[in-house]
Amino acid sequence: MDAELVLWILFFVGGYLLILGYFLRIALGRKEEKESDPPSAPPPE
Amino acid sequence: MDPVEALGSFSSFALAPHPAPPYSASWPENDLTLSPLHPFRIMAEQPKEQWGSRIAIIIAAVSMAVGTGNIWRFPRVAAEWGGGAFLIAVTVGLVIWAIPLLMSEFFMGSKSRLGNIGAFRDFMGPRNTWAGAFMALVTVGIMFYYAVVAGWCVRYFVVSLTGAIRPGIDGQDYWNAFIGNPLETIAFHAVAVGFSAWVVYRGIKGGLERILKIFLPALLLILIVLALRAVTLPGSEEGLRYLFVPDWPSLQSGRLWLEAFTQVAWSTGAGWGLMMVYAVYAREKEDITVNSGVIAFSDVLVGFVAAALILGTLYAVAPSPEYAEQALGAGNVGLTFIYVVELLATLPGAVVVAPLFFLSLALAGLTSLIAMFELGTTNLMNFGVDRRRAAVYVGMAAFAFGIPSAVSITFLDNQDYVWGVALLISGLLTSLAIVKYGVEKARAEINATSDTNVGRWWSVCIRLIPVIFLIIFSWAVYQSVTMYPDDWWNPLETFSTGTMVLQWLILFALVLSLNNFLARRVEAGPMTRKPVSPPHDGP
Repeated sequence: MDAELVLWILFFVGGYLLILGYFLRIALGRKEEKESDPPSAPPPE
Repeated sequence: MDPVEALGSFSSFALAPHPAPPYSASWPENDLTLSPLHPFRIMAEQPKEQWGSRIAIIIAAVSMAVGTGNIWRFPRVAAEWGGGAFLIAVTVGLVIWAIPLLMSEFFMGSKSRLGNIGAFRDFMGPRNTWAGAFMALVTVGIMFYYAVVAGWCVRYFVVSLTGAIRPGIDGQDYWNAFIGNPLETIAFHAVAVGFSAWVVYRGIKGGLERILKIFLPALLLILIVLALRAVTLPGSEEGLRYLFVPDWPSLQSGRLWLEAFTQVAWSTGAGWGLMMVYAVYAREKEDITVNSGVIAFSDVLVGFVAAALILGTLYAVAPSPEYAEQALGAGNVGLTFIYVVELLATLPGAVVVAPLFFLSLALAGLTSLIAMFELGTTNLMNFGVDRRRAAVYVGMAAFAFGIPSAVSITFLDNQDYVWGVALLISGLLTSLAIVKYGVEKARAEINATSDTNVGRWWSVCIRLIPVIFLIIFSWAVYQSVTMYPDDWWNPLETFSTGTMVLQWLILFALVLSLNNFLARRVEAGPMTRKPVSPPHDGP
């Protein structure tokens, strides 16, 4: 496989994986955050 | 047999048991105050099903988007239209067409908590309820023939298990023998319909979520394994070059952009109304932006994997470059069921590779088909039919109206063309619904529940969609006119403008004539219900 082909594969597949990873990190992170949310503190008196 | 006939049968059984609500023609738009005795209230308070978790709706939505088109169309079109240049155009299409539309659908479904018909009534006002019915019936029209196609995939998986795909097989003869046997095509159509109806019958959690959580990872795993196998074959590099290295001059071709946008429009599920229906069962505060991004980018990534598999194998095993070009020019069905069959048969380990390939195709087809069944079922449920009965009705309609496509591939091609292009109209209607509701208001509400704020680009894209629609639509019409210069008006030609316009007109006439009826009978959702104050006994 020549360098040009490897570069373009990295550009397209890597780029898409990076964006998808970004979205998935938020999606899954949000879920964990919600599940581990402590009960809301009482308002200060 | 026309898909539009389905509405008649749906409406007659779905709507009969409910008394007419106090509706009058002067019912002002966006003012759907209901009396305390209104039948809507009873139905709307029934407990709603819900996806079990956030990951469940993401899996369901990605399964919906990833279909047979990712495996048999994306590789073919990408190789034909400039490889990397096509991928750049696809990425632009994702950002300015697919993601804005997927977000709009998600927003409409999760806010209205109703299927397409109810969502359009609540977003565009009762006078425009027909738009939701149009969208739903276009997708139902696709469901009828898509069930036949999913049946083909199941059939090829079954026969490949028996070792029938072996060296020396004549793909064309094998295909002709199958397609020329109506009993067999109808039987496998029935299998696809029966399975999808069963999944939808079992409900969101017990049916769709349970099945899709197995099917999607299985599909991805198989595709990745087969793609890795393909790219390690000697000679596969040439196929990867066709896929990834940009042919820069192609970017100046209008045809490349049109092919890329149609690929994006049809492959991601944007404009089908399926996302709208899945969002009905989402939690109230789902992250619309992130979910839509995951769906769109996953869909194209699966296309990359499938393209590496198809093009890698094709260029590694094809006896000559001419054979490879012939295969790519044979259309979706020709490439998959004729040329790929011949190529897989020659591979070492064909007894394992061929069943795995057709299993992946069957899984991709069935997961998308399940989404279409859910669309029909949810819309019926909004008319007061319970889920199990609705799933059975949709299954019966899908089987009956799919039979013409099962016995005639010309009829199937015609339906694919007519309702495939009509999806663009559904996409246009979705953008118009958001414009009517208020683009900035919608954006603010989407941002209120999303971790990633969507910028003004979204509003610009929503307003740009009618322009993109006009360009792609004009191209589709131009294509059909050039295909039949003398007969383009003839409704009996498979791909003529005449057949397309005639069938759309019948559908438009039907949904417009049923508009008030549908607006009255579809149940109320959170946007139409107003809180009722408790009985007032005085100061």
